[in-house]
Amino acid sequence: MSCEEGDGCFEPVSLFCVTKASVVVTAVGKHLVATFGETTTGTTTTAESHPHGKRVVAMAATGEGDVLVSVAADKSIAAWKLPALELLATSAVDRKASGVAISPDGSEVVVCDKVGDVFAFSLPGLVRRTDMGEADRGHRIVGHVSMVTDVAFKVRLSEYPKSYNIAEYCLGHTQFVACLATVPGAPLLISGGGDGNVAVWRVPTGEQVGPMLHAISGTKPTPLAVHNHDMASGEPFVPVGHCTHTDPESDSMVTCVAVAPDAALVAAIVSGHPTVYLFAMDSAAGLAPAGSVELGGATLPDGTVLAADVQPLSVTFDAAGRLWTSLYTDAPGTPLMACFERPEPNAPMAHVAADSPIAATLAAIAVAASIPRDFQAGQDPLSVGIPLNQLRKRKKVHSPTDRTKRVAARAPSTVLAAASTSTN
Amino acid sequence: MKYPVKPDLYPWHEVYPAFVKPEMSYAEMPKVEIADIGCGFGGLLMALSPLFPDTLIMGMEIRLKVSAYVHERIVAARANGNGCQNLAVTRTNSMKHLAKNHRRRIISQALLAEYAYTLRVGGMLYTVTDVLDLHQWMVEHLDAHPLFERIPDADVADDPCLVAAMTKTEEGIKVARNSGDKYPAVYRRIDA
Repeated sequence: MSCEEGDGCFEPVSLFCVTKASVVVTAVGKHLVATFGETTTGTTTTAESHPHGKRVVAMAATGEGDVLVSVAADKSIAAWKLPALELLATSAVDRKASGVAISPDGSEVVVCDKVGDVFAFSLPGLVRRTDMGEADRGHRIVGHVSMVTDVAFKVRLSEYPKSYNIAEYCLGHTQFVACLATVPGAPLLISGGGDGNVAVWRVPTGEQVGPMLHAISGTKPTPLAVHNHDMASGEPFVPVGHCTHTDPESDSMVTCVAVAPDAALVAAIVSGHPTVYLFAMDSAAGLAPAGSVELGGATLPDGTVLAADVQPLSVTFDAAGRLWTSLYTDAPGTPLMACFERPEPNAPMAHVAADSPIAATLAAIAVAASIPRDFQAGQDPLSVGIPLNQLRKRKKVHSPTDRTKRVAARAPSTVLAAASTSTN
Repeated sequence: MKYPVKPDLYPWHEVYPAFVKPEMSYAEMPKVEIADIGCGFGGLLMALSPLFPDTLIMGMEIRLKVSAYVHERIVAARANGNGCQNLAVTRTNSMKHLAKNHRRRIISQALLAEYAYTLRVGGMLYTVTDVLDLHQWMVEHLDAHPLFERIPDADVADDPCLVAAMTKTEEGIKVARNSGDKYPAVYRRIDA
């Protein structure tokens, strides 16, 4: 399947966030579009020079929703005032960034690169902090702001700014940790891994809260034992602890997790699956499966039918508890984003009504963020629009049906999250 | 080679059978308190074992044949009634487990943060080398790290761990035979 020019295939929204002030900021390639109600402002239309020369790879908004920081693949960083997307400051990092997080009080932003070095900048001026960290390493903060993942399957919790002081590790994933989300109002962290599992961790003790769950099946993975004679063998390293029920080589990588503002619901999306998996969260018992939102083949209120293989790229909850997701598929006419809510407290999630204000916001985004997709012949469609920190650059093109190879192309990278250890 | 993703999944009762029973939970079992990072042929492990008979000691060695040799040495000693119940070796890349993503596999601030994590406040870190440049590099980085405090050489001259580290390793014996210099540096892990 591939799109021809002009038939309604657009660059997907690879990243987005919904601020506390209900501004939806979407990243489409290197451009940003901020939508408030039906009003949109976008770098797609502005005549001023755009700070980013390559696609945006990560962004974060302050808690109050007044400032957004975006980081692009060309190492540029920009701070913007919302909702007008006024450029406040620009800066740069030395190596391609893969993650960004803003301190809970909104005064600092930290950026991490793929190898796990972290740098701090003030907000809103984006002045690099040189009063901390290793002077001979560009003042990188040795550790990381509160939490960071590395490819060795764990989350490292460090104190900020004394990031040389590692508080604890969150151990348990048997593949790289792919995504993190902080829990509002609680010292907890949700992780999703390349092993297809999701887990809840206490900050800063690192202990797991409740069982690790396989995102798709909602069941506990089976622990595997290690025997001492294994240690003496010469075989390559394979971590064991918990394995997924399915083949660990399979494509069940959790690509994004999000937490609802009431901290009672968690959403997770898995690569290759046209579904948003939902979990109830309890701060003492951890996660329990709570159904899912089926996107593949779903009929939206305005009559659009989503393709069977539609891929959610990112999920988040807004302040009212609505679930937003950005979509990717080859089928022309697919909306860039969708939004779901519960019509009544215990009803299943349903797409917002066609006459709701949110539908108007979605329509405004669709107009402002529609950049026709630029296809090269033979390009793997799924390599377009996937957040850069989940892609390893490859010249090879994989066939769309070869799911295992596609997952292998998503190299793990460093992910960042900032959390306050006090409950508020 | 399988390695457990967390310490409580490691078969400690197979490694230290005299100290850890299969039915013990991870919380109640004794923990490793001395680590020889890069233990080579086990000389230091053997020297430390009788000095700290109730303390669990773990050696880490990346070379397969060398770690297998140390393992055999420990097994034989135990079978002959020569103690070593508190010793174990694991063939592992210490840098992998501690600092996987760092390209520079030498002491750096980042790696030291990992070491500090593994040590309790008041724990000790011993370094010895016959290469002056390396000694100066280690001292520079350890001095700069907020969680380590240097203990003057004079104050640790009689520390049995340091004596063992300087005189009981195969490297240390070789250096002495060649009348080389040995440069120690000992640090205490302090509070943040």
